[in-house]
Amino acid sequence: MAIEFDLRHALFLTYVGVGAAFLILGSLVIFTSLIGRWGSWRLNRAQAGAEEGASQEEVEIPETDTGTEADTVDPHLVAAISAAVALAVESHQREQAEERTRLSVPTGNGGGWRDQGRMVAFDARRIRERDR
Amino acid sequence: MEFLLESGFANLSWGNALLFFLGGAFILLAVVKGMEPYVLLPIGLGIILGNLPGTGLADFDPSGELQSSGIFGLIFHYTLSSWNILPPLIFLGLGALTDFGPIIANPKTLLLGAAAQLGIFVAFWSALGLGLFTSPDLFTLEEAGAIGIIGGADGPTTIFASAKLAPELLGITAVVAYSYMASVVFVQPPLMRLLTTQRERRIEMKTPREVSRTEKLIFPAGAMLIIILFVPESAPLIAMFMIGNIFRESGVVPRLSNAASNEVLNIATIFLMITIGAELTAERVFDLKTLAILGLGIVAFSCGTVGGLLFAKLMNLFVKEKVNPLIGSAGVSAVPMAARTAHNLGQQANPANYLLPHAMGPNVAGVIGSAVVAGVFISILGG
Repeated sequence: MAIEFDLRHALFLTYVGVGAAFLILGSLVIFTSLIGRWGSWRLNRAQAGAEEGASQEEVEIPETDTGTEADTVDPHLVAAISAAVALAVESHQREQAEERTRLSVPTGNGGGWRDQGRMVAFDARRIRERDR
Repeated sequence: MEFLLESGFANLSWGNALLFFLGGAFILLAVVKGMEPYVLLPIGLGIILGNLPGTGLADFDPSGELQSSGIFGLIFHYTLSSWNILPPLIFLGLGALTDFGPIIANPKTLLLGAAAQLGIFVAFWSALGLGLFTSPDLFTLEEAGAIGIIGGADGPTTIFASAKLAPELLGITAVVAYSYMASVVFVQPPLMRLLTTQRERRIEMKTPREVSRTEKLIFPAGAMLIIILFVPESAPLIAMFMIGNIFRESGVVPRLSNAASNEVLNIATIFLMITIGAELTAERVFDLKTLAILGLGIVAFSCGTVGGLLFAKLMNLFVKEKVNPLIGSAGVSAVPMAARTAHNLGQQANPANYLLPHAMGPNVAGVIGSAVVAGVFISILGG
């Protein structure tokens, strides 16, 4: 009698155990599939967004390259700005050349290393005074 | 003279000596062969310590008299037998180490984890059936349930279920479960070769899709709710497993995640394994029940492997994208050894085969499945 009861109990346990394992893991399969579908949908949407963004960029770049805005700029103004920049560059280069001449070490007219040293010291003092 | 009679040498039995050899064998396998060293080394040391006569290391005195209990006896009583603390802590660490990506990418592999629980029920019925041939009282229903869980090949779940259903069998069921888990590489391949054809082993599976962080965060939270609502008794294991995983996947609590997967897991492993080893004393091991459990353990483990393999073959009859049946064998838990074994066998058949990510799906599903079945056993048998 006791064994019979145990067998019934054991059968019930097996039935519930197997059922629970498949039911729960089956539910997880459905749940996970839903998460997966949602995840794939989000991924596809993000990819589509990225592709759209990239294609827009591709379209925008040629627009600036074709110079549609540049066509509206006055060519006289462009020439005047270019001339002003050229003048500024030229004057800056001239100033630099003069400064180099002033500070250059004399190499000729019998100037030995002592004269050269005095000259450098003199120029250095002149620069300091000017800066002050 | 009295001193000599009370020494360990005078009280050493042949059973103790045999268990020293068993402990030594575990230590050798861990140190020399590198087989599951984190499990076998502390268990081996525990076996040797627990069998040293007169130490009282594994004793527990329920009267609570001062200094009357040994350290392993206290750990066993308070963290396993009375309050089941260590297995859930181990599950917390395992959760923090687990990647649910393969399952989310291929949810049908969850069913392989359910099929591999076949071993639990075969061992359960075999334990009951043995009573018909020997003594009707050999194993009670509770003890048969505890033995059956060995078939889940999940150490912490076996310990959790044994502590609730049959605390007197805890040491042996735990050692048998861990020993068979450590010998996955020997037990499973012959069965896998026997039940699959070369063509089936060659089946290549598509690389799983990339899984987003949000999906990885939603899965453990949702799965935790579903499983615990179905089987509340599995809550200690499942909740801790999923909490550990949420720590990991959230990415905002790296210190907690690291602590769970390193410090907590390691501390729990040290106490659990040494204590289990120490519980394997000669008096407990050498009887008919223990030998029967050893035999039933291998039956359980083999049937779990067979269940997973056959279900994978059955699945191939219905699904469009075929699965390599070898990954079904990974449904027996034993993370990650079973998955690695499936991967290695797949590569032997087809060097281009990369089954590891696919096998991790059933492997983790096996952990969930065995915890669910353990919860069912505990709730019905009233642990």
